[in-house]
Amino acid sequence: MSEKIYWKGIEEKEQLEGYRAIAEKEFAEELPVLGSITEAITTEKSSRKDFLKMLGFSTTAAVIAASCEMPVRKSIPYIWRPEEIAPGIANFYATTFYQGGDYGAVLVKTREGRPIKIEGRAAKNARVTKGGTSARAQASVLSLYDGARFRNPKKGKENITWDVADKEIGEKLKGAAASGKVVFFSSSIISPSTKAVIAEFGTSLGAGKFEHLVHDGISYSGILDANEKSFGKRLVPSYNFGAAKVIVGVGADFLGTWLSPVEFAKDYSVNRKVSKAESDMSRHIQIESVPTITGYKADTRISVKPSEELTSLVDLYNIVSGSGSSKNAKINKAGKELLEAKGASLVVTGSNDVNAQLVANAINNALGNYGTTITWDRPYNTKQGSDKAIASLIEGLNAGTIKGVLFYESNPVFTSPVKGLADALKKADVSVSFANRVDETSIACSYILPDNHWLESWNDAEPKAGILNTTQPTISKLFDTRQVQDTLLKWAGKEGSYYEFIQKYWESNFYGKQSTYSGFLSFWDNAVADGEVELPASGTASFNAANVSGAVSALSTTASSLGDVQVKLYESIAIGDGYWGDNPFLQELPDPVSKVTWGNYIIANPRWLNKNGYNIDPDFKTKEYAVAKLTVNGASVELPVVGVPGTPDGVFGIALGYGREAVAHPELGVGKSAFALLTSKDGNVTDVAKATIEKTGKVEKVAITQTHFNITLKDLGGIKTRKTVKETTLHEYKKDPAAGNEDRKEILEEMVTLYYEHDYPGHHWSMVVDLNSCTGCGACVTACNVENNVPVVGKDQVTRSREMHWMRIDRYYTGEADNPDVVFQPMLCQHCDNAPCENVCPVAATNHSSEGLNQMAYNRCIGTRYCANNCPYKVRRFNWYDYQQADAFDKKYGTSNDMNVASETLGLHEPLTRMVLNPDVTVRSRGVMEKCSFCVQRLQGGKLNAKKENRVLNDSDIVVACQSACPADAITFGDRNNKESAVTKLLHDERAFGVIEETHSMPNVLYLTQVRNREEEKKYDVIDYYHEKV
Amino acid sequence: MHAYESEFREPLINGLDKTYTKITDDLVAPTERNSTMWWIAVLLTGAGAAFFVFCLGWTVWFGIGTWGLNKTVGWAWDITNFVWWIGIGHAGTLISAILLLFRQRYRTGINRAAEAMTIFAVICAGMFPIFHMGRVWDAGFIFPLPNTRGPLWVNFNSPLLWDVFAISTYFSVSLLFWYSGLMPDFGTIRDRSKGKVRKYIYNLLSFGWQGSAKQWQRFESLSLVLAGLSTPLVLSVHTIVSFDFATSVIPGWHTTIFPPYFVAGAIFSGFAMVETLMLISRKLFSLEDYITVNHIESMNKIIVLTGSIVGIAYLTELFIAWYSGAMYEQFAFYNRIFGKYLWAYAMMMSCNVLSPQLYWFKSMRRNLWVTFILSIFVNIGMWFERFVIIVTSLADDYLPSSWAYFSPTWVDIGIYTGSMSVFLFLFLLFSRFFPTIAIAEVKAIFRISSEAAKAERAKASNATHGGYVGAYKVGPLDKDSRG
Repeated sequence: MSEKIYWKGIEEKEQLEGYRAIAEKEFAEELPVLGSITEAITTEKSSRKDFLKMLGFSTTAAVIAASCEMPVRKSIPYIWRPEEIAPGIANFYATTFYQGGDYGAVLVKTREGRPIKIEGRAAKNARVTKGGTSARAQASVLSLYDGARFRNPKKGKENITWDVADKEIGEKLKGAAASGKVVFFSSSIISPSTKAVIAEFGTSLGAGKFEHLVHDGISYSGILDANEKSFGKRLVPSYNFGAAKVIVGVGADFLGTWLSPVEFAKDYSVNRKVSKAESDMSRHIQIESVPTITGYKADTRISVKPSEELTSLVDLYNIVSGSGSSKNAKINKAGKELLEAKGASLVVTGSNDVNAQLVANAINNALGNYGTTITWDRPYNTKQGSDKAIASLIEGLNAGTIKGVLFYESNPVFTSPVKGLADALKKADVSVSFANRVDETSIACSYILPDNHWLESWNDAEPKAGILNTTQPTISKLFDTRQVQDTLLKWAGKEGSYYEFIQKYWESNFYGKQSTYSGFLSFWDNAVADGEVELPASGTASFNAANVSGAVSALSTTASSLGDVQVKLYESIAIGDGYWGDNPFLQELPDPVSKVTWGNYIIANPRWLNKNGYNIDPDFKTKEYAVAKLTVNGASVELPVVGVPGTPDGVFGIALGYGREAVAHPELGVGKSAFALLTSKDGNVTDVAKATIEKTGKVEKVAITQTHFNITLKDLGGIKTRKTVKETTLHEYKKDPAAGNEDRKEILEEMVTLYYEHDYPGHHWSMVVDLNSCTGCGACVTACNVENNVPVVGKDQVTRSREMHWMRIDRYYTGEADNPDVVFQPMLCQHCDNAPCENVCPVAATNHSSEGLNQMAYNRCIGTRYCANNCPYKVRRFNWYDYQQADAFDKKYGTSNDMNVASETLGLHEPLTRMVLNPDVTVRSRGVMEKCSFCVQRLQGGKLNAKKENRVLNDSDIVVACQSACPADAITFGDRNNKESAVTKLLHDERAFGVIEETHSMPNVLYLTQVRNREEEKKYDVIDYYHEKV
Repeated sequence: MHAYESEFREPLINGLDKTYTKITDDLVAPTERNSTMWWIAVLLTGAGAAFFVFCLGWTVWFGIGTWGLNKTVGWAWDITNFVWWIGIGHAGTLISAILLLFRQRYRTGINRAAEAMTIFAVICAGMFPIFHMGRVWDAGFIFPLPNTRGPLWVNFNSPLLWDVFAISTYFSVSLLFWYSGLMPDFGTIRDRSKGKVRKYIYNLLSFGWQGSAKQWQRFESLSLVLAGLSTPLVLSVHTIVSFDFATSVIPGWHTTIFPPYFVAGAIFSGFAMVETLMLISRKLFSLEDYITVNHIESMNKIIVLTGSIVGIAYLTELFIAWYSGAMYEQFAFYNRIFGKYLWAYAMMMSCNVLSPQLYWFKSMRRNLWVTFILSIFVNIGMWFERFVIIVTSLADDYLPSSWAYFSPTWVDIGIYTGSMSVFLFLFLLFSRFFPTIAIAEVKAIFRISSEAAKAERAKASNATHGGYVGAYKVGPLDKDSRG
């Protein structure tokens, strides 16, 4: 049987001619475009003309294609993927920050191998700072990428190699040791291994040939010397503000700058949080002259002259020892309260006068505070300096006994109150600075051997006895620098690196003291991973009262010698002793008290200003301030005078650390150095002095971000006080948790609308800020700047009210005009549910997300600024110039040149410095509006993490930058749709209120009322110093 | 046009020697002669206009930072100038549309120049919203154009977007109105032209106007239709501009009184600007017979009316601020009067409210010097009104921590004075090449409202009836009716 044949069409069956021709071709039909060309090429018919046409076309096409500029991409194929680095995923490394005398237990966030952000370590691995950070720690990441860093060793101005440096200096040091002594001059070193290295180096020079001098720019010599007399230990004990029920601070800014502010703010805030469940809080009395954030946060601030700070200590001592009283009723009351809280009280003074510290010790001893609120088990290592160090260095150099000097983490040429060090250094055979950036001391030295940045270094740290920290590098070194410890080991003739040295040191000194880990490597690895190890505490001290009566009479003498006009020289919260003067982020951080950026000034009583004709711009139209010349003991500075309410009449304050001369950019040298005004008493520097002040007739612009406008108007019936901030007393709070916030009920009742409201099906982000906890320190502001690539704009732009900060801290005064209460209010985008900015944008560049975020589409923004005008909170910031050089146009033509924009002049546009930018956050170009995004990049990251782990998002998934930085835990952030979240609970607290909710903006940032622990309500004054008739 | 007019009514065209030919000669004359004064003025204002362009270029090149604005005051001179120019641009439409509908004959002497002024003022005004943008190169985003960016659309809730529509509509309708009115007059100029090129150009400009009855009929219908279209615009444009402020939450902006208050202010300043320009051009181009003291007086009456409306609006704001009990509102107004910008408030009050009160006196209304000075005062005052509203409200709003002060930079000043140069430059070009007074429309009232016609009628009536002559009657004047 033959096989059947199937066909699908008659053509196939018949195998027609035409069908076969089609079936053999790849395409059934002629290709329309190529047809004529291929034909022209393939058929013989093509003429010379066709050939020329083809030639012309193909040549032109090739030329066009070839002439398009192809960008050259310098990239490395990811064949060998670096361990642990995945693009787009941040890595966190535990390390330890200790710079300029500031300690912080931190995590460093790195992206693609670049450290870009500092975070506080979790409290369990940060026993001192407990997760908080300071503005300085936050900003320090910028200095890693400072274009002004030394890139190689230098001899004078000449670049040399490390081999040459080792050879030359090695010989010179030997020579110096032969004819005299070699001095290692540093600030307080808290690294035990470094100290061991220094000792090794000293030994290598020979016995008696080496000395290690320690000097701190901001001196703690007084308290150290006093403790030596009282307890026989030249150390500072641990203060436990969390255990104190009554705290009396005498001129000690312990929340801002004194000793260990981050730690203290953390401890202090524990007892300052009130809730219905725990309505007790500590009582804080601050006796101070020049206002500080600590004084402004106090329940009672007693405003006195610097001399009276000293006498008040005497008075307090007399009261607690039962031998007398004070003329000042408030001090009497403070003394009484201290006595009532015996054993749970704390008296601290920031004075550098040994006698003041001796009296304070006596007071605490009389109150039985040693062992409870002050303990000797874990004394601080962060302050070890002696004020005699500089004097003995200069003396030795001049006498020829010191022939070689090595400077490490110390800038005595700038911070010394006495001049002559720079000249004396010329007499040394060899002087070496280990500074990694230019400073006054390094330019006076014959050699500069740049140290690694701390983010490039291995190190350890022991901020308090038995609390051991590790520092690990988070990036390989950027320049041809070498860690000081390696240099010293090499000069001492030791083999091996400092890293190995630390391990050995830990193995022989610390490993044995703990029992958690068996095997040194496991101990070490865990220490590095956690960043911290705790060894058992030990140590007591007994009080020796022998010196007290002498100190009491000496204090009274000192106080009476200070006269009527007194100056107090204080440490600025941002700049410190000048160490941070070259950090633009910190220069632009408004001082929490005065709100001034970029430079120092003379703080004065506003009424004094008015009375003496310094009040030249009462409406703050030009931000011009009259300049005065302040003289102490023949030395003088000329600075603008800024009124700060709460400063007593006849008292002036000047911040130290400004007026740096040896800085890479003149703009960083703003202000005048006040170190020359420091006087010395019994070998210790004193920060208060008798002064004279006179008008110069000059005028200077001050880059102030907030002024002292009067909120309420006088004599205008019907005008009420703005309820921007709300406060009450603890007394009232206990009666009614809604005290001070009574009007909120009415406001909420009136919040009705005809319009539709947004739906928030998923998350609904919200923030609560506890005004009671916020100290105004500014760590959040700097953290926000670093996290969100907020540009630095410079003094000129700030003077024009154009600072770009997404987060600012508003400061409001109330109460008595001469000694007002102050409320700090962190202000950021309120992410209103009914945002006034959203409906006015013509192009919908700012719009509402389904999670309640008021978001900005930068690419869509055309810059009408209508949103900023219509924002009742004025938190929107406009890019007046190309501050970050984000614009290709500006980059090419440099159009923002000559506009006094700091980012331009400070070199923040350099590719090196731009490495600090957070790659998750858009860098905004000129002409667009920007503002707080609630760290939307962190929100997305947190959501992704929860999603990857297939679980519901919880509070710990998302910590926004300001919240993470806050040392006082004032900021709570979370999802208000989650009934269990911390923020939801706080939103329903009786203390919660929104700012200007009457506008029906429905903010998602609520504040908790400030509660002051005192009975009396201050009398209410209308404060308008500046228009007051004298 | 209604043909009846009382013989006692003051004539709108002075001069007993006026004939149709004479009118044509007089009104076309400025376009036919060269004047040194004109050249000097054109060069001066041209230089100013060039400086305007330079300042705008500076702004675009370096950034809005070259202006005096800050984080608190996001609008200052830019939007002040914008509203000021838009206000000035109101008189044209009002005169051409509303006065046309109300059959006010006096409009014929001034409507052409007023409409031209409107066009130029709106051009100046339009510059500010465009160049106040931080990213002017992306200005196209404000148009609701279909795009490839997905569902990205403009925000129809934003008053700034309404501005875009309001102003572009106003500009197009005003331009049409003005240009269609010019066509017969271009025809007249063309017919008188000697040179070929000139004839050709004016012919083009006149769209080949023939003057046929059919064309006149269509011309009249078009005028009426456009008048009908623009009448609501007179009210809507400034109403919408006022929404920029009224719909916001800023105390001192958030006010329901703004629409009528802004419209009255706009007419006020528009008329003042018409007066300023007309007083200069009637002298410069010898048009005293056509822009008479009668015209000026009529405009002054509108100025005293609108000035008083504006004054009442100011007082109403103050009353409502007090009566509302809203503390932010109260502060805003207290601050306006007694705060750091009190000088601006004082300028506004004295120029806008006090100075026009002089016009209650007839002698003042008819005094040209007083009128000239006051017309300038009014515009100064109206500039300050916008400055006071915009800057004082923004500078001190809700949170005292952010209060700030605005001071202008040289760029701010350059752009503002430059925009005045642009305006005058365009107006000078207009007055040299276009008929400043609507020839055809003046001729239309010649037989009714001119001194010559009235005299003739009086003579005729004395001769025949010894009394009143009613409506128009053919007389010797009509024999000379060449266009």
